[in-house]
Amino acid sequence: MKLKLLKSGMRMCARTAGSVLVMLALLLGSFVPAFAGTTGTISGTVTDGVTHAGVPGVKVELVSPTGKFSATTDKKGFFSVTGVSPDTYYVTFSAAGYEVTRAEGINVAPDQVVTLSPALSKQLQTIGRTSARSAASAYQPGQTQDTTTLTQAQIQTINGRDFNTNEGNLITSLPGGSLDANGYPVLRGGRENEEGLSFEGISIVDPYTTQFTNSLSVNGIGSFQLTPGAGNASVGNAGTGTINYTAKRGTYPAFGSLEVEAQTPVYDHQLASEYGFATPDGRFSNYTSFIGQRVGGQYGPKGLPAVVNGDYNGCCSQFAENNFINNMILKLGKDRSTELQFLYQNQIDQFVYDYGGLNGKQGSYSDPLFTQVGFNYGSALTFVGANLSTVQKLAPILPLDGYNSSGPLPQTAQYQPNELFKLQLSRSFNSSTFAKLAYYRVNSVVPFDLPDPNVIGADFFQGGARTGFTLDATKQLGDKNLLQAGSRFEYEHPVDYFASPDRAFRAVGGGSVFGQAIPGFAFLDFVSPTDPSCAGITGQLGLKAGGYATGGACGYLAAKGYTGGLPIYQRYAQYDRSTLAYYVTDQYSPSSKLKIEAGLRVDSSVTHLPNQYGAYGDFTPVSLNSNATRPSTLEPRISANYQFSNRDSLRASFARSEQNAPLAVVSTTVDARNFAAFANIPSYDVLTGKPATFCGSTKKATCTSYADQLFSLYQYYLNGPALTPVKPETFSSYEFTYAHAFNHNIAAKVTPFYTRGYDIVDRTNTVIGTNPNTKALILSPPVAGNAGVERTTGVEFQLTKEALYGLSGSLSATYINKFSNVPPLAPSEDFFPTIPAASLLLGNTYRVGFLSPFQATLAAQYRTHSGWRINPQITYNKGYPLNPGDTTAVFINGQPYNVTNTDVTGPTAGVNFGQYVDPANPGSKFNPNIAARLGTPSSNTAGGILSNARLNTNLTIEYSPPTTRSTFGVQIFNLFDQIYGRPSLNPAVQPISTGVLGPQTGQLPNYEYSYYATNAVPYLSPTLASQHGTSPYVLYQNQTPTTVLFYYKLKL
Amino acid sequence: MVISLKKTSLGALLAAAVLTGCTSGNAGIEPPVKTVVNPLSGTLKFAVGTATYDLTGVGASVVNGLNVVTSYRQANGLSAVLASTPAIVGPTGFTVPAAAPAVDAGTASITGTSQLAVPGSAAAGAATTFTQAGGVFAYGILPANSTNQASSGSNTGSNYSEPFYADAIFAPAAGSDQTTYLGGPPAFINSQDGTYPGSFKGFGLGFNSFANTTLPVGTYTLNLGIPTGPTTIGTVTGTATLATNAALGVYTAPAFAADGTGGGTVTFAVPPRVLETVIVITDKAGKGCNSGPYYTLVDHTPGPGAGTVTLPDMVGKITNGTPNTSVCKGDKIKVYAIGADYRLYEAAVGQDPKFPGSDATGASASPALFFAGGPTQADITVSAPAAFTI
Repeated sequence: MKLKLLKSGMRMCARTAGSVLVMLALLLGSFVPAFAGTTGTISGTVTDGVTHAGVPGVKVELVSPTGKFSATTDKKGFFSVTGVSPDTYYVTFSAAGYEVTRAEGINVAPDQVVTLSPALSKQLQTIGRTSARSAASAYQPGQTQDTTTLTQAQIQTINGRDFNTNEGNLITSLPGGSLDANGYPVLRGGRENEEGLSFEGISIVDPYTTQFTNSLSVNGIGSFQLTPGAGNASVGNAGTGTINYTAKRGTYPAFGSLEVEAQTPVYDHQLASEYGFATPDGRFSNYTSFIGQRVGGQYGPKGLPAVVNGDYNGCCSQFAENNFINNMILKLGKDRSTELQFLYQNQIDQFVYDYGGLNGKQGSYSDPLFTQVGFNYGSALTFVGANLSTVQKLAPILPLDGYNSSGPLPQTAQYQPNELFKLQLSRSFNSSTFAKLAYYRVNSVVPFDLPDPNVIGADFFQGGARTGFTLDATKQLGDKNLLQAGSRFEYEHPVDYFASPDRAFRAVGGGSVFGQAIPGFAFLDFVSPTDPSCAGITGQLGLKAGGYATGGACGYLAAKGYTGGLPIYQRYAQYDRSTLAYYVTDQYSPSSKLKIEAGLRVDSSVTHLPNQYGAYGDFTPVSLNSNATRPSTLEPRISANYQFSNRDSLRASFARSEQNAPLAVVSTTVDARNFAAFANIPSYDVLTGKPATFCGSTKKATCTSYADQLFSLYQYYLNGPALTPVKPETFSSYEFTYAHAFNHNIAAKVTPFYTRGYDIVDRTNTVIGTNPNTKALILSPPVAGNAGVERTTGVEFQLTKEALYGLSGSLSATYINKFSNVPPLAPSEDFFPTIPAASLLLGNTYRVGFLSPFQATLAAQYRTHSGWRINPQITYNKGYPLNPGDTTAVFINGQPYNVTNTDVTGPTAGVNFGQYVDPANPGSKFNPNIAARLGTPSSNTAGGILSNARLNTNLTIEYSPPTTRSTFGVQIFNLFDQIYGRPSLNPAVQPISTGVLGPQTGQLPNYEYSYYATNAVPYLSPTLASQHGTSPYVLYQNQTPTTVLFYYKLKL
Repeated sequence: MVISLKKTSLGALLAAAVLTGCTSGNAGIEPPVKTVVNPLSGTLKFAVGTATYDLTGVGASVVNGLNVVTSYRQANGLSAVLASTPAIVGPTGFTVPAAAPAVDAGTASITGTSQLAVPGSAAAGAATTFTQAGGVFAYGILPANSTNQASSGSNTGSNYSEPFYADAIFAPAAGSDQTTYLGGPPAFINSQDGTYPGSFKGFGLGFNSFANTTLPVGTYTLNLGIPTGPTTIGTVTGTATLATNAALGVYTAPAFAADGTGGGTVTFAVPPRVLETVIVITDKAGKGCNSGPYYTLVDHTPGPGAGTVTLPDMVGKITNGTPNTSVCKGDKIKVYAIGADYRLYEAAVGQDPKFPGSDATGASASPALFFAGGPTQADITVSAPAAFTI
C-alpha cells in the first residue's frame, strides 16, 4: 500500500510540473519563436581588435542561397540570430569606424548554435572559417549535446554519390550508429522500437510498430544529424537516440540536376532529379526532388537463388521506389520575417519476395520468411491429425488447391507507402526571437500481399498515422541565455488487420504458443461425430469417439443448434493514443568558454479505449490502471561544454528520456463480434465435459458462454490480453565527450557513455499456479509488460577531415557493450523481445546478441581541381554473436534454475543449443551426461562467440569536366566480392559424435540443394534441413556480390 | 609540403581500400568446428546368447530365440555416437522368422534403415527391424538415434518392446507394455524426480531379444554403420560366438507381498544355470498413487535356488524433492523376473559409477560382461508377468 501511495505521489508531482511547463511555454510563446529540429542559431560577441572591448551597433548580416538574416550587436557587442535555416552562410560585420569584416562558409545545422566572435579592425579582413567550425566537424565547442551532423558534402562522401538514398549508410557512418544482426540500423544499441526518426521535426515512425516509415530511404535531404542518447529537452520519445534530417530548400540562383543510373550485373536502374529555386527577393522558394528506382535482389554469390540461400535477409527479389518531395517556402512581411512552409512527401516502396519463379526455379512453401509472416500451410493441414476434408468443411477458404501444388508459388509483395505533409508558420520577431507553429500528418500503412488471393490470411496491414501540432520558440535573453520552449500534441492511430483460417484452426486445436500449452480442443465441438477426423483425434486424446448426445466427444455445437464452421480469426489494432509533450531548456553561457544547458521535459499520453471490436471477460479495458492508459514521464536534461583551449573542449551530460511502447503491444485484439453466434451456447470443455475453466486474462476463470470460451482461445493464440498495462520505457544517459581540433581541418572526438534503460517493453509468461495433478507449473499467457532492463556502456569516436579539394572524409567507430535480461539470439531480440519466465525470475542478464561490439566506417574522398573525385567507403564490424551458450534458465520442479543448455533443457525462447545428452543415460538437468557437442566454439552464456569479422568496400570514381555541366561516375559495390552470412546454428543437423555432424534421422540436409542443382525441376521443399546445408551454421547470406553502377548527372 | 601531404593521403586512401580486400576475402564458413571426435573410435561390445520368454501370461506360450547384448561407448562410458545403424548377421543356418519386417524376414540378417535414407525413397520406406531410428548406445539397441530438437529430446528413454517378432503371437487384449523392460530404482538412479528429461522413463537393460529365430551355434557379426558426416558412413564391426544353443529354463513368475508401508518383498525360484536375477516391477497406477515407474531389484542367487529381494518403501516418484511410497493402495503392478548367466546388471551400470549398484570405480567403456568362470555368452530367461493389486 505504501508503495502504491508513493508512486501515486510521484505521478502527481510530474503532472504538477507539467502544468508549470505548460504555462511557461504559453508565456514564452507569446513573445518568442523557434522550432526545434529544423533551425539553428548564430551568435557571438564582436570585439575591437585592439582594445578587445565589445563593439555595439555592429550590423551582422547572414546571407545564404536560401535566405538572409540580420542582427545588430548590443552594447556589449553581443549578437544572436535565431531561427536560421540550415545552410552555408556568408556573414558580414559592418560598423562605423571599422572595416567590413567577412566570414565565409559558416554552416548552420538544426538545433545547433554557431559561435562567431570576430575582432574588428581598421583594416579590411576576411576571417573565413577560422572562428567557426563547420557543422560537420568532430570539434564543436559550441555544442552542449553530442550531436553529429552531416553536410551535403559528407553525405555524398559516405554514400558515394548524390541521389544515393541509402539512409542505413548514413546512420552507420556516424558514431553511435550501427547495424544490428538483422541489418536494421540502431542508435547506441537500442532496439528497433527504441529510437527516434524525425524528418523536418516530424516523427516518422509508425505508431503500430514504431519502425521507420521511410524504408531507410532518404530523398532531398539538406542535413542529417544523429544524436545518440537523449539530446536536449526539445527531443522526445527518442529512446536511445534520434535521427533528424531536413529537406533542401529552393535557392537563388536556382540549382538542379538530372541523373540516370544503371547497374550490372544485378539489375538497378534509377532516374532522379531535383530542382530548387527562389525569387531574387527570396520571398518564394521551392524545392522538388524525385527519385525512381528499380532494383533486382541478389544475396549470396552471383546466381544463387534466394530460396536456396534460405532467406531474403531483410529485402527482396525486387525492390521499386518512387519518392517525391516538394518543399515550398513563402516569406511574408516587409522584412520577410514571416515564413510559411508547405512540405509534402509521397514515397511508395514495393518489396517483392518472389518465392517462385526466381531464376526460373520453384519456390519453397517452408521458406523461413514464409513462416515469419505467419502462414504455414503444412502445420495447418496437419492440425492435430485432422484430415483435409474436415478442414475444408470448417474453413472452406483454405487453399487446398494451393497445397502440394507442383507449380511455382506466386510472388509475395509488400507495399510501403509513406505520405506526409507539414504546414508550418514561423516568424522572426527580431533577430533574437523566433517561433514556429506546425501542423503535420504522417500516414504509412503497409499492406502485405501474400501468395494466395483466396486466403484471407494472405493479406494483412500494419502501420498507422500520426497527426500533430507543434509549437516551438527560441529567445536569446541577454548575451548569456538562449531559452527554448515548446510543446507537441500528437494523435496516433495504429492500423493492424489480419485474418486467417489457419490461425483459427490453431487457436482451437490445443496447440501451443511460445511453448505454452493451450487447453481446449474445442475443434472437436465443431466436428460431426461421423467425420473421420473425430475418431482420429479422440483416439489421440484418449476420449470417447461419437456424438456429444451419446456421450462422445464430437458434435457438441451441432447438438446445440450450431452447424457452421469456425469463426474467422480477425485481428485488429483498436486503441488510439494521444501524446502531449512540453519542454523548456536554457543554454547558459557564463563565459565564452563555458556553456551549460538545463532543461525539463514532460511526455504524457492517453490511450483511447473505444473497444469497437468488443471483448469478453476481463479482457475489457476497464480492468486497466492509469499507468497503462495515462502515463506521464518527467525528464530532466542537463549538459555542459567547456572549451579549455582553442583546440580542446570537454562535454558532459545527464539526461532522462522516454520511449512510448509500440501500440502493437497494447492495442491488438481479436474481433469479439465474430463470436456472437455462440453467445447463448453454454461453455463446454471437451476434456472434462464441464464448462471450461481457462477463460480470462489469467486462463483460470470459468467461461461464461461458448462465445467467451472461443474468444479466449483466439485471444490466447494472438498473444494474451488485448490491452496490456505497458508503461513507456525510460532511459538515463550519462556521457562525456572530449574533442580536439588538429591542423589541416582535422578534428576528433571521443565519447564514453553509459545508458540505463528502465521498464523496457518485453513479453513474458508469469507463473500463476501449479497443476494439482502433474505438479507442473501453469504459466500465464505471454503478455506484454515492462520487465526488461538494459545497461549499455560504450565509446564512440569520430575523426573528420574537411577540405574542398584534396583529401577529406570521416572515420567513425563505435564500441558498445550492452546487457539486458533478454536471452540473446532469441526471436525478435531486437524488437519487442520475449523473456522466458525462468530467466526473468532468476534475474539473469546477458550480453545482447543483436549487436556487433565494434563497428567502424571510413568514408573518404580525394577531389582534384581538374574534376576528379575518388571516394572509397569502407565499413568494418567485428562480427555478431552467434553461439547458443552453455547455460540456460529452466523450471525444474517448479523452481527456476540456470542449468546446462542441452537438447533436453533448451531451447530457451528459440535459442539453440550445441550440447546433446546421451539418450541412454541422459543424467539430470542439473548434471547432464553430454555425449556429444556440435564442436563449435562455445561460451557459458549465449552470444559469447562472434561470427567472422566483416569488411565491405565500395568505391566511387567520378569525373566532372570543369568546363561542362556533366558528371560521369562509377560506383563499385562490394569491391572485393566479400559474401558474408548471418550465421545461426543449423537446426537440421545433429552431432554424431563431438564435431561430426550428420542429418537428423530421416532427413538429408543437402537433399534439396543437390536435387535442385542437378535437376532444376519443380520441387517442394521436403524438409527444413534441405534449406540449411550440412555445416553447423546456417548462413543466411545477406551480402550482394560485386556490382558496378554507372551514373551520369547533368546540372540544370 | 602541402603537395606531398596530398599525395601521401591519396596513396594511403587507395592502400586502405586495397588492404580491406586482402585481409578477409570471401567468408563463407562461420566459424570452424574446433573439436572433432572420431565416431569410429568407440568401444563396441557384442555378445549373443539364447532367450527364453514365458509369454503364457499374455495368451501365448514359451518362445525361444536369439538374445543380443551390445554397447558402443566412448571412454567416459557414455554412448559413443548419437546415431548408428546396426545390422546383425547370423552364421549359416540362422534365419529370421516370417513375423519380422519384410526386409529381414527369412534372411540371416536383422537390420535397421540407414539414417541417410532420403525421405520418401524406397530405402526409407523399407520395413526393417530397427527402422530408421534404431542405433547402438551405451547399453543396448534403442530407438533413439536422433535427437529431435523440436521436441526437446523426446527420444531419450525410449526402448523397444521385447522380444522382437513376438507381437503376432500375443493375445490381442494383452497389450505390449509388459514387454518393455527398463531399469529404475533402487538398482538404478531414480530418474523420476523431475530433474531428468520428462520423456525419460528408465534405463535400458542392455539386451535385445528376437523371438523364434533359429539358433545355430557359431559366429554372429554386428556391423554398425555410423555416419561420419552428413552423407558418409563408416562401419565398426564386432563378432560374438554362440557356443551352445541350449536355452535357459523357464523362469516362473515371481511372487510379491506388499509390506503395507509402501514397499514389499519379491520371492522367486531361480532356474538352473541362472547366475543373476533382475526383478522388474512396473506400476501402472490403477487407483493408486503412482503412474508408470519402473523398479528394478538385483539378486545373485545362483540357480537352482530361491531368491528374495525387497522393494524399499520410499523409492517412488520424487515430487519436488519428496519421494513417494514405492507402491500404495490401489496400485496395479506387474512383476517380472529376468534370469541371466552373464553380468546383465553390472554391465549395464558399469559404465557409470554414479549408479547405486555399480562396481566400477570409474567410468568405463568396457565393463566385464561375463562372470568369472561363467559362460561366455549372454543367455536370458524372462518370466511371465505376475500381476498384483496393492
